[in-house]
Amino acid sequence: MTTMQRAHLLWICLALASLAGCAPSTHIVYVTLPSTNGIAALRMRDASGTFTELVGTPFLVGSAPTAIALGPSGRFAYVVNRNEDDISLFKINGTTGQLTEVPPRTQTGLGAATLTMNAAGSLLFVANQGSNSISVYSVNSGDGTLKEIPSSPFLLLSGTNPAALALSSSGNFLYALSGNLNAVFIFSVDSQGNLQQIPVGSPFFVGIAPLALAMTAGNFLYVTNSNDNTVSGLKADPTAGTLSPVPGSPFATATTPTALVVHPKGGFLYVTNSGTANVSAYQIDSKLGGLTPLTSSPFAGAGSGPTSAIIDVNGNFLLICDHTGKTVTEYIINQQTGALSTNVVKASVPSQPVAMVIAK
Amino acid sequence: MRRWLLFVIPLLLGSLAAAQDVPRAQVFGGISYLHFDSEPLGFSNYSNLGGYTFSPAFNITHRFGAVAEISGQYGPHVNLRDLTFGGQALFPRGNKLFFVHGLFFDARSFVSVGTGAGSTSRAIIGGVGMDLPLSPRFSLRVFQVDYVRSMLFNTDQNSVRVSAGLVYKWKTIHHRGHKAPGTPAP
Repeated sequence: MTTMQRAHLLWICLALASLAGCAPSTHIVYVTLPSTNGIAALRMRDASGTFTELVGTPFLVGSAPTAIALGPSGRFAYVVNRNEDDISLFKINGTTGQLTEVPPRTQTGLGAATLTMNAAGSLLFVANQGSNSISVYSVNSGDGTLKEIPSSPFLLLSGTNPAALALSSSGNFLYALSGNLNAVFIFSVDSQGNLQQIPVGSPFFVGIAPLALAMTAGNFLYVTNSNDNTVSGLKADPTAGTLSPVPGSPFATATTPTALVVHPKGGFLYVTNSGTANVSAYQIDSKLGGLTPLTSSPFAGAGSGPTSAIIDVNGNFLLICDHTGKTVTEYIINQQTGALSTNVVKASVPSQPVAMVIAK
Repeated sequence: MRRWLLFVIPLLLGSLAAAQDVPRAQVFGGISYLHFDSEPLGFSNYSNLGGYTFSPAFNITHRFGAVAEISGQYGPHVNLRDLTFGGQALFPRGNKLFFVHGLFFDARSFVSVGTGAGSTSRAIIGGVGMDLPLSPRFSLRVFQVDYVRSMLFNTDQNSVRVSAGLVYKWKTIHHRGHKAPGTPAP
């Protein structure tokens, strides 16, 4: 082999090696589309913050998917189909992010509205607005299938119509929000998933027309009161589960607060305001749970119909569903100050989005 | 700068010996590796696919010919097939035959992804390669590097494909004033 031929061969080897490259950091966002019975899937690239639709999106699901949750393994997704009172189980392709439904669907109560899962991924809780109950399922860690526990569903006070659920950081207490009764119902949760309303302090009354709640790792619970234009801040007792207002609660928001989300590192709270199409941002007092608005809050660009807010696991991006604008809006979060970027990125979805989750 | 250009550089540095004979007709068959641009399809990164390339060619003159190509590359989540037609320019140098081809006159890419979703689009392929003679009938295609542009699922993909294999050839186009020794008549 001549010197020139060796040089050619070396060039080829180096070029081939350069093709290997490093995998960029990305996350997949799954968005429920109730009016078209689908789940939109978008890949978000961390470096650029841009979105790419996955091949096959939107993935067909049952009638009126209104809520979605991911198992902690990242292999399974659970979607509530409100109009047919059941849950769809999906397997998630780890490479492509595509969803494949695994039938049969699991029955819920009437008018299932939302769901939540414990941190271990062993229990799934579903709020049934129509039947005033909470259904509890054990989750098979191998194949993700659901099995309703024997004592489920757990009936609630007539007229409760539970709209939102949150678990304490220990998983020992479940908080169910009633928009009808302006209250939070508190249940102890045993290892099998059985619920028992705590004897004292439940229900706990909050502001008018509460819509959503969120729990921090430090057991502070925040509730958006859409008619009061406030956020209730509550301290949850880790042993008894009881709630008590934090100093300064309730805290003012902009007009008609809807959704809210806590930063995964716990220091900030973000509240979407549908009346003013913006996001109120607060610093959370880690000891007392009080909220202090950030200097530049509120931040514009949320759209007039924000229904859901989530943050990626690294705390870099805040995503908001805009039901009216049929978009997913992305803000970059300043990890030091909690401030949101002024240039937002919007991704269109095929129809009005309601809920979303972001995979790791 | 696109990475595929790295493959062009060694060709530009090729030796400049006197031009020699080229085959009148040839068929290339070999293995191929495709660095497929699957990010526009929602994948997190490029997909590395393996498969085959099959390419018959008919050289009209000592410098120019027509070429067709069928290729298929496969992976666990995406499969791609190309059917293309175009032309090639030949650059014989010593005992090596360099070529440049462009395939776009009628090019089709077919892909299926994951759960079976499929798309068909036009494709444009441009590439270079080099053949080394093994015998009067066979040559070794040491490399063929192609840039593959497709427009699947209404998005653009820019991919790189590398192939190697065997070329079967027959008849010869002699360079003017040159007779290649030992080239048999078919």
